[in-house]
Amino acid sequence: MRRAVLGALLAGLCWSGCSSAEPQDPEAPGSNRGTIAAPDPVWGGPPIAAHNTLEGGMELTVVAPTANHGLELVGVEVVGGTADVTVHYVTPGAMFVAQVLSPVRMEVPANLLGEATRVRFWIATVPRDAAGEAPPAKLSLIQTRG
Amino acid sequence: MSGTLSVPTVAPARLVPEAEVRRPMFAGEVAVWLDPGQTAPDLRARGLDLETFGGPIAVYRVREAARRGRLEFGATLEESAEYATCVAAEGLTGIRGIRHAQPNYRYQHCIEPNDRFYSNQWHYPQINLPQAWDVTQGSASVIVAVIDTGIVSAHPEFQGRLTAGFDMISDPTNAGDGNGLDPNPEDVGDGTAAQPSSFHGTHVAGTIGANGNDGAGIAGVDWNCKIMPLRALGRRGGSSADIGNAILFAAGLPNASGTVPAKKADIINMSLGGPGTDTILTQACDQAAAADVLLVAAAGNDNSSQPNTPAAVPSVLSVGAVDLVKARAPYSNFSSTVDIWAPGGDMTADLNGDQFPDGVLSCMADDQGQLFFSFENGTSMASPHVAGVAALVKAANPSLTAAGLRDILTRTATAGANLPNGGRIVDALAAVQDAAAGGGGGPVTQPVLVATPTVLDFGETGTQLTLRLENRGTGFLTFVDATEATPSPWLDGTVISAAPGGNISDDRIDVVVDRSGLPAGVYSTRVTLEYSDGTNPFTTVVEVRMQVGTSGVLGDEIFVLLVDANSFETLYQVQTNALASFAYAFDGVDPGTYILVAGSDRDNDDLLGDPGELFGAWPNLDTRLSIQVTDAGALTGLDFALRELVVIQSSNPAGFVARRLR
Repeated sequence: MRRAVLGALLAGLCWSGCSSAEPQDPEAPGSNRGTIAAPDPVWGGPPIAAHNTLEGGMELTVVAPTANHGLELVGVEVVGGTADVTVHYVTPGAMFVAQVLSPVRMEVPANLLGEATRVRFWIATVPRDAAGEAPPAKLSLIQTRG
Repeated sequence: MSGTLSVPTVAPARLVPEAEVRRPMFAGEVAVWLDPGQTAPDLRARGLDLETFGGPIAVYRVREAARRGRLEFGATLEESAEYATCVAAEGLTGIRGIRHAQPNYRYQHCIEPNDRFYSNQWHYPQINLPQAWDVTQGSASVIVAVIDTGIVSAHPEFQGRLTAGFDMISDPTNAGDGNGLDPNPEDVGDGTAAQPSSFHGTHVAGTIGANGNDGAGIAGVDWNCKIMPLRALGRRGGSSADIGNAILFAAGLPNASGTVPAKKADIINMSLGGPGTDTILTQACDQAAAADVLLVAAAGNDNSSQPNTPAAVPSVLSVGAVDLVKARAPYSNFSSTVDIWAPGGDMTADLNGDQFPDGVLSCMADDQGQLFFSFENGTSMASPHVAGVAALVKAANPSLTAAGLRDILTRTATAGANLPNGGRIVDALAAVQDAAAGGGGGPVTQPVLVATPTVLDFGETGTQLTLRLENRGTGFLTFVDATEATPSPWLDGTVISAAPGGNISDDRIDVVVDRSGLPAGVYSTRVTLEYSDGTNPFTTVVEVRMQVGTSGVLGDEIFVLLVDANSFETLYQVQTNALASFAYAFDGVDPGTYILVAGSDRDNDDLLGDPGELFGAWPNLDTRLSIQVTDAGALTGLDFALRELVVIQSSNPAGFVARRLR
């Protein structure tokens, strides 16, 4: 059931199939991969880390600068030994929030990662309640699995 | 070996009175007085490592190995070193050439509160709070409003300290308590399915005003002020309108609630913020400042030079965060609008090596209803330090205006470690001294009633304590009345005035308690002492508590364990049901060195010492001593008390656990 929901969410996003002025990232999930070089992770946000869980999944942690941040799992796609995990890093938007550093965690269950030995996190920063499409996710972190 | 285990009459060389171990000292140093004619070189020649600067007094340094000898079993380094120091002093006393030996005690003039986790609150000495507490520990006449996520009012650190607030969150979905505006500022949590609640307001309020010097938990900056909780941050944060209305409410101005507090706040703390500017919030802040309220806010955690609202509003005192070494915390904003700096912590570091992250320790709760203490970091934590010091300053000189408070706080602040824009750190001592001396807009022009101490704890056996009342302001005060918060026939007091009818600078009150006929339990009340200058009343509140019998909860099954002091293996166990007090006995104990502990196992995991369980050790949890069992005879009178443990996050509350036998 969880896999089906995630699949539906993924289908509703605008990755490679939509017309967009944004240049296409050949490594982005759902694109026509087969390229030779993977881009280096780029993450300009607060401290981020991923680690393997005892259950075989992967936990992503962001130390958000304030309260009311969140991580939402948008989709997982496994091709060969690589799992591409798309995540929304949800920020408070226009709200006033508590100024306390807040670790935010999200687990990617083992069953969604299949046999992948490498997990790539593609993260889009999305203000809460923002209208319109989410901005493109960027490759932000690569972690070896297992 | 058989019989009942008992007090220090056995193995005297190993047993040190608790009071001696707990007395502040330079751990590892023994001060010795040499016999006439003896010199340190004489004794060094006999193998004693003595330092001397001439004369009969010398210092013996306990070897490192010995000082670390009791680090096992969860004892802190300080406890271990102090214990070893006491043992060394006892050993030296009998040596030829030494007339007397004792720990090299540390003398200081400042108040060190006895709260259990105070030693982890590094952020208070950093701003000279202990010395400031010598001047004032706050006043119940000062109100600090906390605009935040609300408060967990059941936390023991807030008992007797809250004044009526309001829930200003207008959107029921954001509020999460089933309604919009309502008079109940209780924090019901702001968590989501993926994220636990922050209980941020409880942490912030704890820094401002957790009960101090009460032998439990932590200390707040101000031990007497009233906290007005105003709930404005919900599951999605807070809006301009809700926060604006909370500001107006605190200032006693017309607002959406349709009501105002009986007495407006003197200070408002806002450990919150958002980017950009906000006209609604700016106007609310300006109106509150015009109503003589000091507004204090967090500068923001974006590691940015961009201003944050409401901290950047000119009428608000903006607070940046420093770490343990007084440098800018890596997350703290540093715009030119930052007015003052205070400890906000840095959880990525443990520069003081206390095995905890260098965060700010304060009150916390969780979604399961547990109440405990946790470390957090952020400018959210820095702001309440300044708000709390402002409350102390107001207590030191009640005639100060909000502008006067701001002037004192910023003018007396001291240099940090290369803070941006020449920034300076709040200095509690300098601020309250300046206030008491009439700084911040004029001399003290009215009486200032101060009680010392503010907590009278008679413990299990005490019967009489003395309270001192002083007028640290001007004019004359005379005693009017003393009223108890709850009827307490066990309590009585006699006012003894050295100058009847005149000033109270010499007043003392002999307070006595009478336990006769009372059932076991903890008794406490708050006594409001009222004085008058002939026209106006002046009050101060003193907390009184005592215990009858030893602690214990009827029906709990208690396990008493003898644990091998070297392997920490539980070797002997007896069971009983907890009453107010109960006897225990071990028979047939083999000679050896043991530690004696007892407790309940409410979660049935075989481990005693978990949060929420009764737990104790001989002679007490803070100073666990080894017991030497020999063939010489029975040990009796090893009495000790159990207490219910509260939890400090990332730790177990007692510092150790013991496994019971199945």
